[in-house]
Order: sequence, then structure tokens, then C-alpha cells
Amino acid sequence: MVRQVVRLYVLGDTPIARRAIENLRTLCAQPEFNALYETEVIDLLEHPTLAEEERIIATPVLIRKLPEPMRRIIGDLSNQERVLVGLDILGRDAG
Amino acid sequence: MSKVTSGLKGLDTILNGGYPAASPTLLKGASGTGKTVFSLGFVHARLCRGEAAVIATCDEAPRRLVGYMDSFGMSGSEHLDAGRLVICDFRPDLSQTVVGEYDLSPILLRIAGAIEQCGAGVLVIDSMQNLLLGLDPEHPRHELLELFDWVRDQGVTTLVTMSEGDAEGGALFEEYAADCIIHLTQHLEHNLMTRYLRVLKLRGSSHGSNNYPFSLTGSGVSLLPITSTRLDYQASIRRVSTGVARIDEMLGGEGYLQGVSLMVSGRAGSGKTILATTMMNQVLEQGGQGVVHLVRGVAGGADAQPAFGGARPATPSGVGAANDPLRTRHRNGAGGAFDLHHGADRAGVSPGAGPRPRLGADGHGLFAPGKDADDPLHLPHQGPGGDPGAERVVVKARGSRTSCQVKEFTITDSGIRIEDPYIGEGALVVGSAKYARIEQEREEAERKRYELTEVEQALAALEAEYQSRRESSDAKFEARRRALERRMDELRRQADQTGSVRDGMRDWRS
Repeated sequence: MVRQVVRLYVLGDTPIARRAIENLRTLCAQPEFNALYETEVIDLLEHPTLAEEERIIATPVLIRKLPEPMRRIIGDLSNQERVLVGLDILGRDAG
Repeated sequence: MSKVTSGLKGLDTILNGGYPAASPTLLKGASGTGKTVFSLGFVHARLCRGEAAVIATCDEAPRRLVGYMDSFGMSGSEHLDAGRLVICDFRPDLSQTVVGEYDLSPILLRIAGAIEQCGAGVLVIDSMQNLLLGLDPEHPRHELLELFDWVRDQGVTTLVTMSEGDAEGGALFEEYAADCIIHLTQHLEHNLMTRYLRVLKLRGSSHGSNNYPFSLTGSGVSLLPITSTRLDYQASIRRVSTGVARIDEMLGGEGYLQGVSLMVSGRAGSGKTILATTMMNQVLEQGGQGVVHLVRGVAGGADAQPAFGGARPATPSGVGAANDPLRTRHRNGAGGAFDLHHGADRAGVSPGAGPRPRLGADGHGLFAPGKDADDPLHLPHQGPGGDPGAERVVVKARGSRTSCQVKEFTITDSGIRIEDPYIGEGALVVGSAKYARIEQEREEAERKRYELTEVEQALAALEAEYQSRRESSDAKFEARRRALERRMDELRRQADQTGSVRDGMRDWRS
């Protein structure tokens, strides 16, 4: 099965951005996540037009475009369980 | 402080020039009060001056927003295609989850990018509370303050709309942060809705502080600030005929002055509407344009149509949105309808045609003659003759030579007719009493003529008698004179004879 790409957008090298990247790494270490998704980190300072294209209001934000429906998770991803619920990896009751 | 015109003459008057330049202005109001229309109007005004503008939309899809501009005649899609208008889509994604801390700096990044892209001097954010919807940020006010500081730094004139109804005490925060706050409300009274605008604050400048009624029309916002009106317009010297020659005569010969407020007062049924429609008809025939404001009508324009032949129909706009404030004021008994008139003159809404006859009932004191209107024409129902016919008086006409006479006023099949009343023997009568008086006068004259012939005949008889008497006495006189003359002659002869006898006797003695 082809792994889908989830992208983490950050804006600059801020403490919150660094925390989010760190949390995403921990997430990737989890087999149920790693089996489904590849990850990519994008700094909007380097790609300013992407903010407009993706209609980003807050950073950091984790965007999963596929499979439908699109999911957005805003924040430093500090609560892993809620992230997994947000990406439909865990059932709602597990959260 | 420098101002940027809002695109609305009325609002510029209230704000003493317009929105503060390079500053954030907050437009507050509940949903449906017209915040979006106000901001689109501002964007349009700037675009028309060749500037560029950025709209950050948080409620409506960009396509719909452009559609609204097009339907208001603001040519939104044209500006969008030309690149002068950039719309950033900030609609919230409700499927998002928030996990942990975050910041809102991408908002600033995107707005800054858009402004740079088209070189905009104007930014509209519609609406602020939806921008933060679903995020539940811990310190949303902090981001707002940052944004306001940023637009000041960048010199971008910003209009931020925000819904009210945020019960938190923190809702006041943005009011401190903005340089100008405009509050929009809508008010329902007697089933009539009126929109109001009030400027709560304008830093470093004076501003109008009242609740100004406005309405949303087919071309955007219509705002006529009544209480900010300055009476500095030029008086007209052009005359407009009323369509009734005799009334024109009473007003100095050529009718009333163009642009005046005209009041026609009188009881029900005294002919106010017909007089007004006659005047309107006259204007239409001279090629002018007229609008009939149906203040008392419920809807539709049937009442406003001229009642008699040869008349082109007026354009009734009785229920038009522009009249809402007027109608409401009327219902409330505020009695300020004439103020609005002066306001209309100033704002140049309908100064072309000039005549604006206004109807007012005599019964209630809404229209005090001589107070508000320039030319009140009074139509009392009960004439001095006791007849329920009508008569009219020009009470006052500014700047005109006016007849102060009471005239008889009748409504005929061919319109209004003005006649002189009967004046004589210290009385003034009109209507059927006038005809009775005229009849009475005719009989009187007839009787006099008859009497005259009688007297003439008597005089002739007297003269004839005198003549005959004189003739007979002349004859007597002549006879008597002759008798006396004869006697005189006789006596003279006898005296001569006596003399000759005495002479003969003397001769004989000697």
C-alpha cells in the first residue's frame, strides 16, 4: 500500500515549531502511523505562496490531503493520542 | 490627521473627511446591519481612484464577494481580473483539530504577501470574529493588537468588521486598539426597520456623534446625515410653475422658486394630493423628473398617479428604501421631515427637478406652517361662507411677492380652478353662498332699474305739468298786461284832452 504524505507547515524557527517537529518525529516512530503516512516539514518563510494556497491561518499545522476527507491539525502536536484520533488512526472512543 | 474618503459623501461628513488614513477602523454591528456592504463600498471607492485593495474574507467565498460587488454596480470582477483587487480566503476550516500551542502569524504573512503583490493601500478584513472561529486561541486579542500595529507601520488604511454580541468583557479590547469605531445597528419600530450608524470613536479628530439613519439600496449604502447638514447651499432664483395659472399669479406671477420645500396643508379631502400631482405633472411636462414619496400610502403608487387626464404618470417610489428613515421619522412623530429635505439638497440626491410638494394633514401638529417649509399653501375645509367648498391661502413664500388674498379653490374635471371670492359689503364669501350673493345682487339691480324708470316717468310728468302751468300763467300775464297798457293809454289821452281845454280858457280870459 502506498503511503500518503502528511505535511507539517511551520513559520520560522520558533520554539513552538521546534516542539511540533519533535512531536512529529515521535509520531513517526509509532508503527500504526508509520505504516500509513510519510511526513514532510515545510517552512512557510521559504515558501510564502504556500500559505495562501493551503489557506493556512495558524502554524504549526499538519495537513493530510489524502485519503479524503482532508484533515488539519493545528498546534504543536503535544497530545499524540488526539493527533491519531484527528487522522482517523484511532477511533473516537480511544481519545 | 489625514483621512481617506469612505466613498460615501454622508459618511465623510460625519467622519470629518473619511476613515483615518493608515489606521485600523473597526466596523461593529450585528449580522445584517450592512458591515460587508460598507466595506465593499470603501474598496470600490479606492479602486475607482486607481488604488489597489486587499480583502481578507472570513465569511463569504471570494467568488460570492465579487458577485456582490458586481450586483451593486461596483465592477468587482473587472478589478479582480485587472489585479487591482486581491481577495485572500480566510474562511475557517471547521474540520480542523487543535492540539497544543500554535501562533497566528501566517495571517499576517498572507496579508502582507497580498498587499505586496498588488501594492494595496487599503485592507478590509471581513469579519474578524470568523477569522478566529474554531481556533479558540488563548490570547486572540494579542494577535489583533499585533495586526493593528502592523497596518499602522505599513501605512495601510484598514477596515475591520466585527460582529457584536460577544458577551465577554474582553470584547472591549479591540475598541481600545482601533483608531476609529463605527457602530451599525438596526432598529425595529412599528414594524418598520431602520438602520443606524454611529461613530463611537475617532482618534485625533472631531466627528458627528449622532445615530444617523441609512439604508442599503441597489447601489450600496445610502446615507444622508440630517443633523450634520450645513445650510450653505445657494438659493435658487429660477421659477417653476405650479400648473395652475392663478396660483402662479398668487406666488408673484411665475410660480414657486426651484428647489424650495413646499408644504400643502389642509384637512382630508381638501385637495392636497390633487394639487401636488398637478404640480408634479407640470414638472414632468417641462421635461423634469419627479419622485412621489408616498408618506402615508401603504404600498404601490396608485395614489400617486395624477387624477385627471393629460398627465404622464409619475414614478412612484413610495416604498423605496431611501424613504425608510423618513417614514420612520414620520411615524414617530419626530416632525423632522423637512430637515431631511434640506439634507437631500445638500447631498444632491434629487435636486434636479426642484419641486417637492409635501402633504401634511391639518389635524395634527406635525407640520406647523411657517416653521419648516418655504411656501406653505393652506387649504382650509370650511370656508367663511359656511360652505364645505375649499379655498386656499398662501401663508408664506420666502423671497416671493405673494398674494395674501383668500381665493376660491374648486376641483373640476379638468383639474384645479382658482376663482376670486365675492368681496363686497365688508364680507368675503365663496362657494354656493357666493352664487346666492351674486343672484341677490342681480335682483337688487333689477329692482333699482325698475324704480329708476318710475322716477323718470314722474319727473317727466312733473315737467309737463310745469310746462302747461307756465303756459296758462303766461297767457294770464299777457292779458293782464295788455289790459293795463290799454288803461294807461286811455288815461294818457284823457289827460291830454283836459290840458288843451285849460289852454283855451286861459287864452280867452286874456
